[in-house]
Parts: sequence; C-alpha cells; structure tokens
Amino acid sequence: MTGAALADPPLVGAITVGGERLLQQRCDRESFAEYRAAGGYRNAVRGAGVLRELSVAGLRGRGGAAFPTAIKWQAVAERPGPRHVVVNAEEGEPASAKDRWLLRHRPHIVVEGALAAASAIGADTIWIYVADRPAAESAREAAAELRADTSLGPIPRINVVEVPHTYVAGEETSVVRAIDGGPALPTTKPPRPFERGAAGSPTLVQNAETLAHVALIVRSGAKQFRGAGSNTAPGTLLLTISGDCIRPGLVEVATGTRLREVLALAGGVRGGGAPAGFAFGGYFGGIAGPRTVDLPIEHDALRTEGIGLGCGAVIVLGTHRCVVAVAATIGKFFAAQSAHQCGVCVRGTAAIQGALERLRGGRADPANVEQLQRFAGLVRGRGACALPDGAANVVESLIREFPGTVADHVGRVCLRCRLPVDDVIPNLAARPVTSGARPEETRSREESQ
Amino acid sequence: MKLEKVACLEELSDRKLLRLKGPGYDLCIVLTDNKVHAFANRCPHTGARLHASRVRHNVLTCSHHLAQFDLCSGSVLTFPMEGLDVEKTGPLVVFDAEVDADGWVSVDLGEIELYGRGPVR
Repeated sequence: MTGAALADPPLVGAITVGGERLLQQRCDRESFAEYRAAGGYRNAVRGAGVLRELSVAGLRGRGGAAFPTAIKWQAVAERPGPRHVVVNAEEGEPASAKDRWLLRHRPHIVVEGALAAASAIGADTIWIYVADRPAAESAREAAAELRADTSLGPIPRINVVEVPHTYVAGEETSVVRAIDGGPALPTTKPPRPFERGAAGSPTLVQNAETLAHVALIVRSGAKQFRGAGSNTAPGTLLLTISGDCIRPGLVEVATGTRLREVLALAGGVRGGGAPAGFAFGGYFGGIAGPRTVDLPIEHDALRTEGIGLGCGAVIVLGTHRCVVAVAATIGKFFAAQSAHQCGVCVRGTAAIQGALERLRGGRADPANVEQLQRFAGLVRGRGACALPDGAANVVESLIREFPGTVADHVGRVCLRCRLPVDDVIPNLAARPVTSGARPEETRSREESQ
Repeated sequence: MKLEKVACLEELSDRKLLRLKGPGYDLCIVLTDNKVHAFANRCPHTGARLHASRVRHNVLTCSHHLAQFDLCSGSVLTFPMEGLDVEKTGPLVVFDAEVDADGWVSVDLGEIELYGRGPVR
C-alpha cells in the first residue's frame, strides 16, 4: 500500500461491543440532514454537565498522548476567557488517515463534539485545523450547513484553517502558531496552549477522533461509552492499518482488542507467513516484534512493553521485510521532517539517520551500534517538539526488539535491506515550512461565521 | 515528630495554596474539605514549583503538565500529559500537618529537614 492510497482509506471493519460507533460503512459524506435524522445535535448535556459526563466516561485523547480529556478541559475552563477550541485534524503521522476520514465522511460528528467542548469550557471560537483539502472543504460545508439551520440557536464561530501537510504541523504549539498567522512550526513550552494559545487565550487543542467520541458521550451517556473497551481506557479507537496486509484501511476496535484480531480483519499478512514486525503509532511509536500480535491494543499495556500506540496507525511488516531497512527509512523521514529550529533535532536526527544507514549498508561496527543507542538517549526529551523522541523510539525499539537482527547487520551486507520499503513507509513529499515563511504561504483561512 | 507552628488557620482560604519558603525548605499548605495538607513545593515529574497549581477536594493538579496527585498519600493519580519519563513520575512528598485548638497549623519539620528541598526520586 502506498502513502497516496491512505488518503481516503477503505473501511475494514469493526470489533466493538454494540457495533460501530464512529465508522459507518459509507464512502459518501454524511449530510447535516442525515446526521440530525440519526439523532445528531440533540444532546441534552451542555455546559458543565459535559465535563462531568466526560469525567465519568474516562475518555482519553486519541491523538497520541492518551491523556484524560476531562483534566485538560478543566485546565482550560478554569482560566479566564475568552477561550478557543481547536479541532486538530492535521494528522502529521503519514501512516494515519482516521481524522481526515472522519472530516471527509462524518464531519458533523466532529463538529458536534467541538460544540460540546465549546459549551463545556465556555469557548466562543472553534477552529478546525486541517491539512487535507477534501477534509477542509467538508468541514467548511458542515459549518455552512450548521449556520443555515437556525433551530440550534446561537453557536460559536467556526473557522477552518488549512496548513501544509508536515510532521510537525500537528504539534499543539504549531497549531496555535499557525492559527495566529505564523508558520506551522512548534514553539517552546511553557506556555502550553491550555495556558496561552490562539490569540493569547486559553485554548483546548483536541484531536478530531477524540471530539467525535465526545459527541457520542453527550448523546448516549458515559455508561454506554464505557460499555466497550478496557477499564482504564474505555471506548473504541480508530486504527489505520496499512503495510503488508491484504485489506489495509480503517478499523474501529474496542480498546484492549488483540492485534491478532485486527490483523485478521485486515485479511492477514500479504504473502502469508508471520509478520516480521509492526511499525507503531505512525512512525513515532517505534518498531515492535512479532510478539506484539498477542498484546492488547491499549496505550498503557503497550507502553509497559516500550511501544507507543500513538495515534493508532499500525504498519504491518511482511515476512520478507528487514526491520533495519524500515528503521533506516523512518530515520531518514524524521531527519527530513525536522523543522530546523532546534540544534539538537537538526544534528541529532541527522546523526541517527547516518548511523542507521551505515547499519543498513553493512558498514557498521559494534561501536556504531553503541553510538546509535547513545544518540537516542541524547535527543530524547530535547527540542521544542517530540520529533526527536520519535527518532529515539525507532532506534531504541530496534535494538531492544530485534537484537539478533541488529547484530547480524554489523559488518555484513543484508540482501533484504536492498529491497525498497517505500511501499510500506510512505514519505511526505512536503518539507516543513521554514520559520522565515510568510504567514499567507502557510495557511488559508475561512471564517464561516 | 517535630511539629512546628507554621501558619494560622485564618491565613488559609479554601483550596488556595499558601507557600512557605525558608532556609532549607519550600512547601505549600492548603485547606480543602476541612483538612489541612502540607507538601513539598516541587513536582516529582520535572521539579517545577507547585504553588500555582490547583486543588479540588484532595487532588492537586500541577499547573505545568497537569499531573494529578492525591494530597493525603502523595500518590500519582494521573501521569503528566507530556514530558520526559512521564511514567516514572514518583509520588508527591507530603508532610504531616495538624491544626490545634487555637487554630495554629503545625507541620512535621523533621520531615521537612529531610525532604523539604524536594522529593527524592
């Protein structure tokens, strides 16, 4: 599967309790009338009640950090207004397509979640932040449909902001910077967006899928939401499964579902045999070994194994793949996607890329492997955003999960490494916008109301 | 136990943190749910100061990364939203605090001498 094919992924299926929640077997766009007829925009819970319901539901963010949403919302609500809500659908991870699917096909469920968030924290402006053009158009249409319907009463202003698709553009501070007219590049923290975000106001930046779950929680209640998934991370989550599987696409599963079941939904490994491994979290979560098929798909469970679920993108690596080649390609991606703002990121990701390329080319000695590990330790937690951590995760997971494979590459040429991996590791063509770019080059904005 | 009077109950308003800083110690006290809690003014996650944090019932939410701690036991209720070694965040250092019949808040200074400069990780 290529990166381009992920732009509008097919739906693969669902393993949930009580059927699909966010995904519907549709390839068209759900209109305002259809959404209302299905019970949308009729939520009885508003204002502080949303926060209480969210707290009981135990919804955790689906953008990657899996942080409890109620705590984040409370932190914004407690600060003096005006406040903003941002729907973050930029999806910097190239292997992820869930947020753009939601905005393209079910924009109203995301918008209803954003309206509930605005009601809960007392925000008067909603920003829909997106890189995908069809998703942006669908969001604009949704805002126009809402505006045309007067039965809902006054609603916050809804603005759509389009930015170039880059890895760092989805980082919270990049989002705020782009909304304020700057380039979509990260800034140092503090302040964090919940303290001072868009226009200097407290801003709730929330992933599109998370807000879609919020819409269901305010409609059906926390109890129903907790009817699926694990106790610590209830509900369902969207996974973008791609790579060497027979039916790549979007899957909705209850948290805690085994990867083996998801792989079965995706038709199994292309070409048969056992998978060589999985790239998790898009590229951020590192590369996991075949043992992962029996682990529950849940942030905490995977984290204890040193794997990051991230935004729920899973790339299946077929039997014929060499994980060193995959790691080297991802390392190259991170080096290319550096915003070139922080020295540790520019030099650190380039050094990691070079060392991984040496390993892939059979030119590494044992000291180079130690050096690689040291580089990973040096870049972790540094810089304005988490991009260096992504590079560190790839290195550390490779060495931890595949020690034998890494040892086999020291001073030896691996023939499987010569096979291209671009078909499973889609690269972004666009380079990050440099900090010197003019704001109008980095975004387009439409104020819908 | 080496209880020392550090503040008067009248100085404390509900859920507002009072910072007490002196040679060798930096701590906060807070009145919530009719109980006084004392803890080190240092987040176990990054070492950041906690005196601008929020308290609801017995839960302290760090203003920096929104980590949550139980003020009774110091245990981590919610790991920080981001940052280095999020899962390795240790418990908040809490001190024994008492209010006497005259309304004086006393804190176990013996513990402050041991831990007042911040949590031992």
